[in-house]
Amino acid sequence: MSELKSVYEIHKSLKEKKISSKEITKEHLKVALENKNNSFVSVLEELALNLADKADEKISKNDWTSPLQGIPYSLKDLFITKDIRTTAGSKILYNYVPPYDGATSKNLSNSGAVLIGKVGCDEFGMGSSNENTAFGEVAHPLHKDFLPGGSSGGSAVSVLENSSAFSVGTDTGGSVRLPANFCGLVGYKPTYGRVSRYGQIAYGSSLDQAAPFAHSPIDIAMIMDELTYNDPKDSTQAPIGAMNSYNKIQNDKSSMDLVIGFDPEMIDACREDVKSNLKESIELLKKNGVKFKEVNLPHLKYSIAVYYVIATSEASSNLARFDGIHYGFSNRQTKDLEETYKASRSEGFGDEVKRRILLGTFCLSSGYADEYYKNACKVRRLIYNDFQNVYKECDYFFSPVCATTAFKKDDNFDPLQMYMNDLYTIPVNLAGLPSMALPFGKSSMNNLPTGFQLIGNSFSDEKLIFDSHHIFGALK
Amino acid sequence: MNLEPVIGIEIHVQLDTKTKAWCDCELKVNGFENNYVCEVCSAQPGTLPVVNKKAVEYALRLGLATNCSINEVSFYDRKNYFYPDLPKGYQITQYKTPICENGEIEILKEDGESTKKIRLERIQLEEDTGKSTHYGDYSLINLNRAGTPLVEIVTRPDFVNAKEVTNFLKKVQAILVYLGVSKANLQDGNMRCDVNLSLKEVGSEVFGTRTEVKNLNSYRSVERAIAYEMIRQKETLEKGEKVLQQTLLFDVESGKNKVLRTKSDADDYRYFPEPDLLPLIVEENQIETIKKSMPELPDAKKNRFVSEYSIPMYDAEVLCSDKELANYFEQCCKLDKNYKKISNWILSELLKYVNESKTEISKIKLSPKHLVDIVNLVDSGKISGKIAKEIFVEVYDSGKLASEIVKEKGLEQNSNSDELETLVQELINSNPKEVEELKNGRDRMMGFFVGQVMKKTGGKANPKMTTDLVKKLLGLK
Repeated sequence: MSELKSVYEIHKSLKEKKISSKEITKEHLKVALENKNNSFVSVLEELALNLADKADEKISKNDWTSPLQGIPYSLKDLFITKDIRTTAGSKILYNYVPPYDGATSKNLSNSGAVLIGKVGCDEFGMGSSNENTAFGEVAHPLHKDFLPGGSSGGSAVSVLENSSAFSVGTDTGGSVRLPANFCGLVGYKPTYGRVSRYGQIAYGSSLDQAAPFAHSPIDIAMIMDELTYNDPKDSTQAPIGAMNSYNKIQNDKSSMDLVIGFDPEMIDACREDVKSNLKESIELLKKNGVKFKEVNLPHLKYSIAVYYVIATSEASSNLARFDGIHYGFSNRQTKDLEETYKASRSEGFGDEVKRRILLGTFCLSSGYADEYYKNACKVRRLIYNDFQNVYKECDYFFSPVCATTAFKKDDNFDPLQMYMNDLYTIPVNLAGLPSMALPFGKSSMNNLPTGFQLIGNSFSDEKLIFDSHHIFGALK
Repeated sequence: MNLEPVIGIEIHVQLDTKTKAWCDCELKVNGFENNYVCEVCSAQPGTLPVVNKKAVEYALRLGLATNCSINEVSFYDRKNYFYPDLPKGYQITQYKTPICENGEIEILKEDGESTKKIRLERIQLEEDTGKSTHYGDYSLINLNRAGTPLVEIVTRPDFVNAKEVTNFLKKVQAILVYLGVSKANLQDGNMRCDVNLSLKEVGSEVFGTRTEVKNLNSYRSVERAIAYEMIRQKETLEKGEKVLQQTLLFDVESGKNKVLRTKSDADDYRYFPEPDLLPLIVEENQIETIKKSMPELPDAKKNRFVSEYSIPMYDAEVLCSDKELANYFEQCCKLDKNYKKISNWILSELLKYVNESKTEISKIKLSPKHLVDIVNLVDSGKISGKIAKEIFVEVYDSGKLASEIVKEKGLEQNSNSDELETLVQELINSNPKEVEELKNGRDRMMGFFVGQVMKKTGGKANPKMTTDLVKKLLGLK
């Protein structure tokens, strides 16, 4: 077994021909097929080996499509893959084989990377613990009593268990940053509109964004460069072309001449073990020349309420197409159309999805839409403005990812408690900002990973990834 | 109770674009079932809409043609409801801010002479659904039509009778065809009309409860449905009952409006802004470009016809209601200056045959050259109007020139005064009673003499000349 883990390391070894894509793919496939942590919904052995052969052939001719060529990865099962079953973690799509390819799948397949398989997630990306799934929850590789977080739990675990060098998940309210944080990985949520959403099964359309997991910011740079091609099929993607952040990292000089804003109250609200590590990371960064500045974002406290109105409203509409008529699970042992709708959706969706559809339907109902949906949109704007005030004097905003480490399996949060866990990740999605979740330290309580996130201004992605690379290095 | 109707309508118009509203699928509603469908219009998970710019341009054309104000920024919204031919589970439409608002269209009133302006509340962009066909215990869905770009035109409640509504529909149809933005055929479903109708006390400002009648796919259905609904509501009110806010379906067979559903608070489409599309921004220069490319519209053409060709307003209105017909008229006018007669022949004979043979003006064999030929033959006295009408159908069917037919069959009008004079003299001699009556001022008797001459000449006699001869020989003025 090779010691190679990160995208960057594997790429270097492939380039120096120390290892072949086939060899590294086989190693990853072995872990994936074992599926000890139940991270995979589908392992694509034959396809992966084929892709590895193709990559090796090109590498032998020194023909490089991208730095991701030959590198094994996994995709959250929320990304549409042509002719490959795509379930969104839901019974309602248990048999769904898409007739088309989504942007993320297409971009990565064009890059020459090797798809190992599709990984598990909370149904339609709705959840923070990975328990809301029709395919069984994913286990935390570091401790059997804990959960890896969600909704992109399978993605995080596939990287941590080395069945994938990287994985792409989706982040609507923290679904990448939270599991990255719980698993000691790097998770990056791009600016809303940086990556095409075409072929990403929608949950909250104005919040969803494809987001990669990897071992380091330089890996993130290599991945993001491939995910950001213009896609005319997504009108909400900014047509500003692909990023060039890997090159930037390799060529630009590092600088710790940064001003980072933080709100001490947010840090103090975290559990003791998390809090002390957050403080330690700030001290370390200060020693490296970073200036910290106390800032106040008065409207962030409304984030959870605003999010659960907007995200569920959009979801109630986005999930209407799963009606048991055109594709997916359908109960036809019914007397009429109305019954087919009811039976298919009642049996096809899990509890959390139904809860959110009901909540969203309520929030959009006539007589309530102004009170809930419209007001939520107004407060969302105020949250965005809060961040803009920060960026007048700071490069980034420093924030916890979660007040705790990974959840225990028997924590048994009620739904509302569970929603509160997203307090720190949600404002980023509401404001459409990019955020890098970086690991730092281990909990003094349970030895599980802790970390923080750096939130940048809209479309500062390249700079944020670049600075994160150097901050990550400084904190090691 | 002295009641009067208050009528407003909504028209859904399929735009005649090459591709669908949100995807590249070829627009071929009547193509092989479900063959013009992709992942977007079949609402596969993960798909997103992309705005068809041509559809936007078409909506702007219509808005500009109907004096609407154009919203620089308008928004798409989702209208949520479940139905199998709506695979997304929501329709993308424009709810709060449509692309065009506050327009007007001038129509002829019921009297066929005076005009009035119908106010347009809004013109909004949206999409059509697929088509469900129901068979006994199962139904089939065809998604070829799903995602067809539509505009919905909503009027103010400005109509007071059915004739105004059909006149309006005809005018809208003409405008759409002139603009080239829709085939605008009611029968084919390119244009679909819903009528909202309520009754109020004459002079009152308070409207009654309205009903909405759907499924009106001909002018005749519109008229029948309105007539039926006015009577039904009146009878309901006179019985002291309340008109319920209902959606009705016109049934062509029975001529009745049947209840589709009674509106209630349960009808909640949960509109909210479509998060997958950006706000629709219309640039000033786009409007300018469209303005420059605007064709002459029916009203402008009508007024020009009246002043340029000195034809009556009514003639111009009918000619201009169909772009092809107006073109036909103008082509005739290029060949001959007898405008009024050309118009008469088109409106009476030509339209009769075109309508009878259920074809279009662009497809007939009787070209402007043929028509002008007939007008000339009559005008120069070569054939009588009667003969002309008789051979019109032959020209229409065969595409032969009337002048050739006249020559072949020897139908030329007899303008030989000597021959005619002999004939007239004979008639005078053999019909003393009729001569006496004519002399005593019974002018109608002239018809008898002209008729007899016509009969004897097989219709070839020149009626004017015949009349003159009778007068001359009897010494009448």
